[in-house]
Amino acid sequence: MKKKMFAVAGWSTFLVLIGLTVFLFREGLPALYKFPQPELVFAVHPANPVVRLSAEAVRALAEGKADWAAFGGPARPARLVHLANLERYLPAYASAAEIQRILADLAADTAILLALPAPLLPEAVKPISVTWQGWRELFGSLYWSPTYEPLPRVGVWPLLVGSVWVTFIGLMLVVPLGLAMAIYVAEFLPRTLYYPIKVLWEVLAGLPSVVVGFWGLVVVVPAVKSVLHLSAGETAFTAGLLLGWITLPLMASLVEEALQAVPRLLVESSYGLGATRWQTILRLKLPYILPSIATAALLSAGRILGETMVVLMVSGNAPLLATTPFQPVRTLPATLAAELGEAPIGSYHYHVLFFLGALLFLLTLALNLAAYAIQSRYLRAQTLG
Amino acid sequence: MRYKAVTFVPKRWVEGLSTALITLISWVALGALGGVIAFLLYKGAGVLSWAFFTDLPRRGMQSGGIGPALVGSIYVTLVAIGVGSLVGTAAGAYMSEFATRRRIVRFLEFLINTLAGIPSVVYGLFGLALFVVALGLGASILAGGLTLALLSLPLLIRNAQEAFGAVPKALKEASIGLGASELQTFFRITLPIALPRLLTGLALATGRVLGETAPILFTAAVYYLPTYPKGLLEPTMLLPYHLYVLVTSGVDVRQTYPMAFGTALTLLGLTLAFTGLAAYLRFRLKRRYRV
Amino acid sequence: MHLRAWRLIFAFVLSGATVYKLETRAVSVWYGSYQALKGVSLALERNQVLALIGPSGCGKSTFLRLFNRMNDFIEGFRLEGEVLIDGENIYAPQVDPVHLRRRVGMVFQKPTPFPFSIYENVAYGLRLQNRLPESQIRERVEHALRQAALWEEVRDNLKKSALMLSGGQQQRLCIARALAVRPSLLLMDEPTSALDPISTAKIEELIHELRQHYTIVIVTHNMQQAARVSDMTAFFYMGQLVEYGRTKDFFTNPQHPETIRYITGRFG
Repeated sequence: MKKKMFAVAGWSTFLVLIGLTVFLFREGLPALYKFPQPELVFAVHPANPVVRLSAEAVRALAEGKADWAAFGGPARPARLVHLANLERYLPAYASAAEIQRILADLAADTAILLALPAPLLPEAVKPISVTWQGWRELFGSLYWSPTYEPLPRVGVWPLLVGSVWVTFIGLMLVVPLGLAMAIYVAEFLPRTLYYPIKVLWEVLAGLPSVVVGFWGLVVVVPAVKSVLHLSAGETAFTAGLLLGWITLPLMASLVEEALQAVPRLLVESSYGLGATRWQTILRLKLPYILPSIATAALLSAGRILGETMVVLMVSGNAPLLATTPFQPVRTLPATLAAELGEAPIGSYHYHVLFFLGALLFLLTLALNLAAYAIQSRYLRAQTLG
Repeated sequence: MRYKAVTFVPKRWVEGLSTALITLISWVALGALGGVIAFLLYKGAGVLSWAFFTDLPRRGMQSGGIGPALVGSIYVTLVAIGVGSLVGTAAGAYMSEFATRRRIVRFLEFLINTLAGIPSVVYGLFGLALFVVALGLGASILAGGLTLALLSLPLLIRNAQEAFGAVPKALKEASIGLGASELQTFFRITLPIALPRLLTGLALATGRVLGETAPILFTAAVYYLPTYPKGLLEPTMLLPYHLYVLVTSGVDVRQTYPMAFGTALTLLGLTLAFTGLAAYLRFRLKRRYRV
Repeated sequence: MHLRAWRLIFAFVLSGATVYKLETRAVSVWYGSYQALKGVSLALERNQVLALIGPSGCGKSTFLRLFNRMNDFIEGFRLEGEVLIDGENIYAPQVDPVHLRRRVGMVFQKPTPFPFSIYENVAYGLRLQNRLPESQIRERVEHALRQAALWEEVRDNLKKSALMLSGGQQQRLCIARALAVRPSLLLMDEPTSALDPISTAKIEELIHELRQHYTIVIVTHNMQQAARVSDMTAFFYMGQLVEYGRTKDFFTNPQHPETIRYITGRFG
């Protein structure tokens, strides 16, 4: 009986992983098929022959990039009325009857496109259906503006690109510096300092990310701004710099362990052939532990990719497509942290954010699985040492 | 032939330079850590006082203290570590002592590694969907604590497994040989001997949990709530989130900076106390067992 | 002419006697407080094979590793006395152990192929020293593989991983790797202890061949092997050189009671 409890606890990780997957996808997948504004009715003038519009068409009409003729209607630009711009047409104080009347007047225009909740809709209009292809909206758009009216823009590319920039910069820092630290500690550090430096690594790895973000905001951001002559110091580069730094202990300790595990006889063989310490490191040990280095880099990438608070605080939080790392960006996790609090539970915004979460989950999972695969594939089958 | 010729043969002075370079890199990277601590001490030490730790935030969080956030963090951490340590220790015991097949243990280890690689913000989403919404706990100390418990599971299980694994097999066998059952042996021999290592892991997890922000953003934390939490199902202010709020969304951020430095220093002090303690204990233990 | 050669001639003229290939003078070694060798003095002429025998922990491996200063890596290592190669004290402060090791090849108890190709394994030592053109490296790799009697077996598979070879082939590869840097002295630390009898026979044959060009010191547990391959035999016991002499006298007419007990198999 008691033993069964242990077994249940042992399999708790399995339950957590299953639960995590189920809930992320249960809440995230509706972003692919749900309509973002189910309470809105889209309607046109009865004389307008249009009966169905795509989300892109609605946006084109709203922004004046196309007129009705493009969709088979009258050759006039559309006049859009939705909740966000309704007050433009209303006096400061309007009674319900007045609002009804004004809306009815507006609806008399043949070029009208209404996007209003059903109770507000005047009678003499023709409802049309608006199609929403979640997949295309998520991956076919370069804009992220999930509260945009009348229809949100939920293109994930700006966020993905932001994440890629930050991860790239972080890796550029953490891989060479992590290798350097690992070599130093494994080969040159006096043994008496070995445990103290490991403690420092633990401490560095355990720094609360929000504290690192704060320090970055106060110290690193102004420094980056003045050194690189940027208009703002909050960039992907700044975030990558800080993340690379706090990921150093992970990278360095993984590589250091691998270095220590190179069989002693191989190392002695190298010395025996007249290799110096550095030659042995560069020509024997690093090639030998290459799989471990790749594993460590992948795990570090996963860590950087998933880090939230530092990025939220120092990367500028601009969900724009960045073409260089010296621009403000917003990453996937930072978007989740910044927006989930404002998204009503069950709303399309909420589902989209869970979709992003599922995406992030899959990305980090892929990195971890790749790391795991490399490790088990190249685990040396040698009997040495 | 395809073998490429060597173009780089290190000279002795190049080697010396390389050694100097990596020494410099290593100490600069760690020096920056000292820099953070020194900077926060310099800026934040003046704010710290008994009143700062116990008072409510006042005047749009520009003065007063961090009492509710401190207490809220402690509550959430207690819930997280309480639940996490129970499940984690039991799971570690299962993997180290009771699981009969090596393949099962390998699979569970793989799962743990997978979970450990999942970003904390994703745990936050999970906590929101499961505890806050599906189980109806609302944003609360309990929901936040449970989310953090899940987050700390990989660390706690791995640590427990190592702790039990490090207990000499001979002792366990001796106990079995004296007629003790497997469970008796576990509770009377293995558990007490593994206790120091288990506590080390707990301290480490406590440090991590205290500093986590992303998972509690949507599961427990509130922006401003000038009372001490009254129950497990109440939302609460929390130190890391409070720091984030002070820095990014105060009414006038410049005015709240002194409070922010004080909060950051408090948070840093708490987490460092736990992680530092854990790391120190760990390496002490290692050394003791090695001799 | 090489400086080393001049020094050899110089030393020869000065001493007016044979300059030994190897010589140790009252060598004592400590690891921390533990004394591993106690005042060992021994000399070996050129192109001879010296077998070191004795029970485990007797100091024979330590003695072997003196000649390429491999003991330097062990913490607490301390040495008294002199170790000379070609009349030169290799523990003198101006001697660079890295340069020394390029003159002294070493083969270990187990085959230690690097996880590279066969070719790169043999070329490893060559690439460490000077920038040889690839054509020369190839020549020397082939020569070394021929010397190690491995060429015929691997000539078509030079690019294959060295880990694919059998244990005996791997050990001959390691010998080739050591020979490629053209040492004058070859150290072998129980080179056949991990091999089957056929591979062992091949290695022993190889030692016979190599004797024409190299001075070889070999540590072995196997007394038949020592008798078969060596010209001189040294018996170590508890850190001391108990007996040293021509192999044929050594096994037929041992002097010391400990030696007799060891070669008649009364040690455990």
